[in-house]
Amino acid sequence: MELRVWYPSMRAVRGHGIGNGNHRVVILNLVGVRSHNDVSKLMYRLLIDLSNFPNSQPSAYVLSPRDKDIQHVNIGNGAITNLVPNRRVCKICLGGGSGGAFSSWPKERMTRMRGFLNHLENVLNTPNTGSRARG
Amino acid sequence: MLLIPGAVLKSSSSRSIRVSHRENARVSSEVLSETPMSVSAVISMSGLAPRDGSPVHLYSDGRRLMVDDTVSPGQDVEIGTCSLIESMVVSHISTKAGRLFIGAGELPDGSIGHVPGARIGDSVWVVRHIQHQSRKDTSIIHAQCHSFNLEGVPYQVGDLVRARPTPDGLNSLLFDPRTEEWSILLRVSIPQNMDVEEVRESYGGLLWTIRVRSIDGSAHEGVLVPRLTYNPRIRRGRN
Repeated sequence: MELRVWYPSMRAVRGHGIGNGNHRVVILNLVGVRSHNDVSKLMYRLLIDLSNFPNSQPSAYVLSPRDKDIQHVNIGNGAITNLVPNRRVCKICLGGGSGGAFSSWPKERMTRMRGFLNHLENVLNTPNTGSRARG
Repeated sequence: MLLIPGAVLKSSSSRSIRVSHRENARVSSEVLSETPMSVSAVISMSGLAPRDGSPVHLYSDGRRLMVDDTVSPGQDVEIGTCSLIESMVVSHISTKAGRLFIGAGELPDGSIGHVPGARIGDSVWVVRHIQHQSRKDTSIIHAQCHSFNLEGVPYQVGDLVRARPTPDGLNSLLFDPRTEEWSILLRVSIPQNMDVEEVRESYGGLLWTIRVRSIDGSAHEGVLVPRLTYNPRIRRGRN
């Protein structure tokens, strides 16, 4: 199954190509809950840093909602990164064991990307108050 | 009918609905059912629904099925995420007129979208109205768009939208992101300091930028924003 079937909003960011046809940065939308106290659904617009993919787990940042409007405890406070120099983006805390789990998956791009996006969806929909990145 | 000995005439099973992907013909699935199913149930059970919240529709014989349509066993349908709604991150301000401005950024196909009222860094959902090639570089396409909210009420008082009013300049249809149809009646008024006849003459047929002034279930009201409405008939001099 191609990723674009499930994630039609996924777009590579121009200017972040790494020369072999792949891109270092992609943007996509995922639906999650607003917070652990408010399970109303919310569209998160995410930026994924694939710098060392598929060798290591990508990083994920929230582009919108904006920092001040985020209530999800596993999304960190806004910070400037070299990926988006002109605005603050909020890094998603993927959980302590997620890197190890990622490394245990077959080292195949599609498998790892699907697993990673699955995990990301899970984080956005099940806030873990035991591992707060804000609030 | 031509019958070939030994051939098996294969028809779609009358106990399943075949769902193929509109944008990727290699992807398909079958939904087992002996009774007609709602469009949303078929989308959900096909396993082909987007997981990123993108709008999704079913099509039968090229016609988009509405939410209250049903799909019968034996029917072949297509699922598609092709949408008029696009996303954009605003990277710069393309027009500034006093405190008013138009934000611009790259649309998924590489065109430059221009959205009234959008600020740098905003991630917005937009619909395009018109587009044209850049005069400086013909490989660049500029698209005039407006934004809306995809969660809850699409428009709020104060929002800047775009529409092309009727020749009398009084009514127009605004894009409804919930149905993806141009179906919200927007009554348009002219700023008090402008002459109605003159506006009809000089702005007739153009794409207007309109500020939403009131919201009602059946109709919205808005007022023309001349400073954000491109009018080739009015030459703005530069010193």
